Amino acid sequence: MGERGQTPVIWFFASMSIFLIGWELACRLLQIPPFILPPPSAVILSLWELRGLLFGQHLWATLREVALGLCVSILFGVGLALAMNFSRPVQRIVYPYIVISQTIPIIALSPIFILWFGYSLSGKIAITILFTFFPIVVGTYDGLRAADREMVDLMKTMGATRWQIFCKLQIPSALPSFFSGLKVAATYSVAGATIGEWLGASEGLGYFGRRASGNFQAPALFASVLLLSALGMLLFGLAHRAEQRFMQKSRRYQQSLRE
Amino acid sequence: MLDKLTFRGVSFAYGDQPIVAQLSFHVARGQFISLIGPSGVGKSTLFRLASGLAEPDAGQILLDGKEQQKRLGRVGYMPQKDLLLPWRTITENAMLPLELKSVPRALARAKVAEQLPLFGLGGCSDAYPDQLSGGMRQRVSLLRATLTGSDLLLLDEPFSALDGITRMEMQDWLLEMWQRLKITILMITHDIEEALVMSDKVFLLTEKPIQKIVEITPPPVSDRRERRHDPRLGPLRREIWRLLIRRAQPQPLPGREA
Repeated sequence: MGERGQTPVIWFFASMSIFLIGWELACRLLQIPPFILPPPSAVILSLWELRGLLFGQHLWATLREVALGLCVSILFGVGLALAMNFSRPVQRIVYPYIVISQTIPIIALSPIFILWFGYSLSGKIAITILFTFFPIVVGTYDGLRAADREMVDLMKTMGATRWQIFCKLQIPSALPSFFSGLKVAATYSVAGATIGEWLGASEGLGYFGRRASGNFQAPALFASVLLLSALGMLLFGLAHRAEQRFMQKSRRYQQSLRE
Repeated sequence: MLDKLTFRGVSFAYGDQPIVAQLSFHVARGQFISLIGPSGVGKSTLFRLASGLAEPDAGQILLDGKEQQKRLGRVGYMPQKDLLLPWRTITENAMLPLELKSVPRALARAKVAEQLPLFGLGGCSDAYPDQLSGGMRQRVSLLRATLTGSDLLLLDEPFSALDGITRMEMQDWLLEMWQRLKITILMITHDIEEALVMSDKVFLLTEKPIQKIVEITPPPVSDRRERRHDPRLGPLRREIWRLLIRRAQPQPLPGREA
């Protein structure tokens, strides 16, 4: 059994190793100055040397912004999707603005958020929300709407109330698309927090990386980028796990495949 | 004989397009009725009216001879697609109508477990719909419809998606269930043969808007499955075909008359 589950992991590590070795060789053979492109060994070394600062302080600062931003975004996004689902007027008024809000370059809008919310934690959370609420609202709303019209009619003939249709049909139909949105949002959230920190902060991986690049400390910059990427992967993984837990059907189905 | 379902001068329109006009008919309790007619004539609209999904613009629809405040929840409806919820097991799908009536889950499960073997679904209770064949899924869908507790079932082309052999098996099985459960069934079909074999009466809908129903009564027999080989069905089949064809004759275009 295990082989099918492990093969993608083996492939990933194989390709990653080739990539890293190639990078290392290129740096050494072409003698690229480390402040332009540091070899992976230097990045790892820098990560080890700065471990106290990176893991002790900056990673936590960023993680806190991302986690809070994402949580508020889920509450806000799901709330808005529910409001749009239950009220046509709300949907007609709000939906176009949600789309418009995404056509504005978010990065250009971010300084205004710093202006409104200040350099404190709330400013970064606000920018993270700006990055993440769209996939969550759209995913949830489209999911709620995706419930089969004929199934709604069938449940009505069984005497179902609107609330019963919502609980037993709409919520389960919305889960897959909600989780797709959440996975996209989880990866965006790290970018949101990083930009928030670039614009003004005293701690966090984005702040650290920007300062490192200002000092031509490329290995330290790469170390912080590595951590940011790992953070994004971690959040994506968590969203994926939550998806599998909530969607019992897929869990049991996969179990039956494995047996 | 008591009437299960009565339409009395019913009119209904979608927007300004009349679908049903001054229609009256009745279905006696315990009968098996087939509805046959060209596509788009409004057969499904009749079902929407009977089940309470739509309300008539004029006239009355009676159940058991009484006008009900609310027909929704009183008539079992089995749609053309099986519409099983993919995230629920067969048992959980079948118990949906009981759940909606707030029957305790354990009791609902027990009720379904009792019925599954009768529907040829023993051993499938924990399977998911995508693990079942089309015929089995239709059985689950019918089981679910009967668990609404209603003794009037509306079946909208229940077998149209099945292959020929499965279809015949399902016809035999449905007749058996109909006799055992002593229910009234209205079934929409596109298959003249199916309608004649299975029904007490065939309702022919030929005109749009639907104003009257042509009733055709197949010869009475003790075992309906034997009707498949009954030569008396031939003239009836021809008669139905003639009536359907006449309806399908192209109408002269307005403004083109000589």
